[in-house]
Amino acid sequence: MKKVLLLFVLLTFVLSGIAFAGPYEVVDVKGGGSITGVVKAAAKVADPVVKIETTKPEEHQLCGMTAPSGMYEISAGMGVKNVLVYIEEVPKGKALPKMDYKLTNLKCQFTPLVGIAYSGSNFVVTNSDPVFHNTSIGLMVGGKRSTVYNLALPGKDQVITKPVRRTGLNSVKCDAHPWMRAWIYAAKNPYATITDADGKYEIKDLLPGTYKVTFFHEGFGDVTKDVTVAAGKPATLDHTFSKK
Amino acid sequence: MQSRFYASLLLISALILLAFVSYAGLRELNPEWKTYQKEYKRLFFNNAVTPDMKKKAAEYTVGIRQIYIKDLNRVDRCDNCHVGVENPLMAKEKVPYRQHSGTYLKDHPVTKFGCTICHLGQGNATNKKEAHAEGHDTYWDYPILPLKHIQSSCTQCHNMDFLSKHGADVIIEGEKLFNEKGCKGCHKLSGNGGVLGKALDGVGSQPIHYFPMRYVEGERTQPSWLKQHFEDPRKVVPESVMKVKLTPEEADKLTTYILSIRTYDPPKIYRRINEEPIVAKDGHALYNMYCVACHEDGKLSAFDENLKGTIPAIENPAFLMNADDRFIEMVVKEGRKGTPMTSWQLSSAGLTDEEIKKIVSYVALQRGHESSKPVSVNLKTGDKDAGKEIFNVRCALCHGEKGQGGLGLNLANQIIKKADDQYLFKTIRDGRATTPMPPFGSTGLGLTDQQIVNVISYIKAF
Amino acid sequence: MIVNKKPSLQCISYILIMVFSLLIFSIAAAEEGALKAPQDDGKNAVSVDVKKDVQDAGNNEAQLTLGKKLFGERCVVCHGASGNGKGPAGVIKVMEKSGRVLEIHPRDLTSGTFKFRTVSTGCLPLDEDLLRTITDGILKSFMPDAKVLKLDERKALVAYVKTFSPRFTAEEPCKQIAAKMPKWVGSKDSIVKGEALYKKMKCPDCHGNDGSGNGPKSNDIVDDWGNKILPFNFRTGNLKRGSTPDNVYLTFTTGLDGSGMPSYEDSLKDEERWNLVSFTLKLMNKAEYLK
Repeated sequence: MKKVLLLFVLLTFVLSGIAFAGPYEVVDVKGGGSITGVVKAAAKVADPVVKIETTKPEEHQLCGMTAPSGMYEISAGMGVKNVLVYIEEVPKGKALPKMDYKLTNLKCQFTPLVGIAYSGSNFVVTNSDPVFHNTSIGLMVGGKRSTVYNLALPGKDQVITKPVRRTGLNSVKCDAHPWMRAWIYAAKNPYATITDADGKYEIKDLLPGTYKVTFFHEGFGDVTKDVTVAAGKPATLDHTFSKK
Repeated sequence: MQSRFYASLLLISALILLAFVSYAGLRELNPEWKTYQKEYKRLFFNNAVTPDMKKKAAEYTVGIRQIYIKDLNRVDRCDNCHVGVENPLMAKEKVPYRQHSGTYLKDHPVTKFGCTICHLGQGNATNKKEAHAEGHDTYWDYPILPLKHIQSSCTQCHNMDFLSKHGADVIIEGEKLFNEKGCKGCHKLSGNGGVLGKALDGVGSQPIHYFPMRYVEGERTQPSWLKQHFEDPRKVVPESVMKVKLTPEEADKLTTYILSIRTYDPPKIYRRINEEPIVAKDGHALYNMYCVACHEDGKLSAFDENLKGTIPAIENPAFLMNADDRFIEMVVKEGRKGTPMTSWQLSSAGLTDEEIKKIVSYVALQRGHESSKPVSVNLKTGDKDAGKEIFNVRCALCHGEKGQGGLGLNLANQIIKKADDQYLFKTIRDGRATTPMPPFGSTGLGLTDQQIVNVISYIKAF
Repeated sequence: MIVNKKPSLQCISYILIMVFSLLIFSIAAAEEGALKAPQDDGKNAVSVDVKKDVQDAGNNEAQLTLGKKLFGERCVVCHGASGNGKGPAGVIKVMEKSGRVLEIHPRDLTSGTFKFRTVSTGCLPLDEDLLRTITDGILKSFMPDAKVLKLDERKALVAYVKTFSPRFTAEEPCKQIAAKMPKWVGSKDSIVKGEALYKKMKCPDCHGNDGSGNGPKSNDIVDDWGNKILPFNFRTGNLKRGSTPDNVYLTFTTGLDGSGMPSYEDSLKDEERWNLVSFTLKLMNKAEYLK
């Protein structure tokens, strides 16, 4: 009797783990559809300049007095670069890539400024500066920040690897240098990308269905739009941001 | 053999003794001041232009001298080294040959005043170390006064009005700092002031051993102690609860002022005083003098780690709305027992009723026009035991189980017993905006009016 | 979690789970009276757990009701009824001996971010971490201790506090970090090494050369909620979580999530962190904790 009970318990735990914690299910996608589009700005916005405000002379020597923020990179055709485009909830689709997210502290800036990390892979954070940096990755939940990792990188060439655990949009900051910032979308499915210099993007291999696509840009804000994808065909979804 | 050994030992001892005695004798023949006086004579002669002056220089005799001033009961021998103080020909020479700076000696001739009445130090001494007496290793009580604090000596004979018209800027600013930083909030002087700190009467005449010098950096003298204490009170007195911190410049000025608070009064014939019209201080000035050190601008309600309690924000509109002048006056007069708040009435901290009234009206200037609606509170219906139960869960976290205070104010004192029921009721019901005291009434944390009355009955019984 | 399988299988597994669970619960409930608690039998331990789980399921609601009541009486005043840290008491200001004013914002319990943990940065605090904070309170911040409450009551508070953040249901607990103090902590050699590390790790950037919390970065720091915060002053110092060597070690290791203090778990070896403990205990004048 007790052995049976034990078996049941084990089964319950294993199965419930699979069934309840798995909102994304990996299947073979053959002949899936895709979403393409262009993200544009309604008007040109001047790229703000970041002031390097520090009382330590060696930091000025390394990082200068000012730096371009790279926030608004708008092409001649008004395409906006570095817009995160992602579908937060996808019930099933292709497998996630196994790809570590490399984030570097270089000359008191984070490189890259925006990017996508995948659940199941790692953050690899590097300090290439001979000054103290701490990399604080924080998940944005309902407009509030919640620390995911706060890592000390006091020395040059220090590397710390941490698994991508909580998914969603992350803001990255360095407490020692308040001007430093970066954005990472930690994705639980592979359907996320960033726009290129012309504001173009493509999300491939989606099963047919209706999806909610989110566009996020640190300056313009975010917007979520519905799009229906048919098998084997590209659906088009454009967006034009205007400055609030 | 042995006798030869002792004989040579005796010889060597005799030679050592001879050498020692001759050295001592030579040193006595050639004291520090003699060197200075010889050099002075040479410089005097060189600088003299007219034959008349040359003659005077040649006539100068090297020898010990002193100035005796009967009225001041002083003997000063400073001019044995500072030989040229009255000689205009020495204006460009180095100290100690140099002439005294400024025109001070014109009004204060050396023969009438001497030196130490202003410069302090040991006038009787005939060498620099003993005369200047800087630091503990000289074992003298009063070292020479550093020149940057020299104005502290002027107040012996002159009042502030006179000094302000004669360029004594340092001590004037020092006095201003003394009045505006609220020193008298804790220190008594001339019969009024708080009691948390030491009284300051005569502090400028206190000998070195009055000041604990253990943590003082640099010269261990009264001015160093005072300055370092003003820059960082806990540096020289680790257990100090003094809140005020000054910049080095301010600290220097205040040191000058504090050093002027002396016990010695020169005879009347020495004093030169302007008829100073006595201006009564207004409420603002009195607030600065007595209240500002703790309450600052009265707007910040913060727990103070020095005083280990919250200093109430007395300019908080939420407080002024409920507290009438009569209540504030009572608190100022009686103080709050068990807290650093001193009783300010004449018999304790020495303020007159009129002065207290002025302070209260100054504090009340911030009161808005809005007044809270009166409520009817009947304490007779209060149930102390029920109040205790609520107090222990809701209030004790901040006010302490016995009302002794913590983050919240001390409730176990006579002020709470005497306080108006309405005032207490409204404070508990509505809380105190911008402080951690939350509204406990039905719009806040949900106590009923009756429960609040119960709590009041309980705290009134502390 | 991601799994390769056919969709129909998932439906079946759902149904199976329901059936299994019902079965177990009914069996366990039936045997409840008959089961004795075996002490040392490994196999039986599991069935005892089942029994406990079942009891917990029944007690859970009662526990949360108790927790809610206690929270309403004691915690709401600062943490707010919704647990967002914006209770009626508001921000508490403390003027330190040095004259600087600290603004203490009560913890926003809805974000699931906690400073005092025994787990790595980013991890949820364990129940015992929360229990410790509730029991001992937090020094200097006026979070009072709750020693007047019984253990069950404090546990009920822990359970209730955990309901404010969805993280507690969504995430697995992390492995606890054990603070095993080596014997040499506090030795002269260790203090010297620690002092060198203090400089090498750039601690003075925030905490100042003498540890008084006035480093060149000390005015730039904001927490997760955008509130300005100041670095710890070792000179006047009692560490908020307590100044025992274990607590100092855990602060370096886990970081203080939500604040500017990062985790040194990956940047320093265990031994180095203990050296840093030796030095900072000296800075805090807390060497007596080593005896």
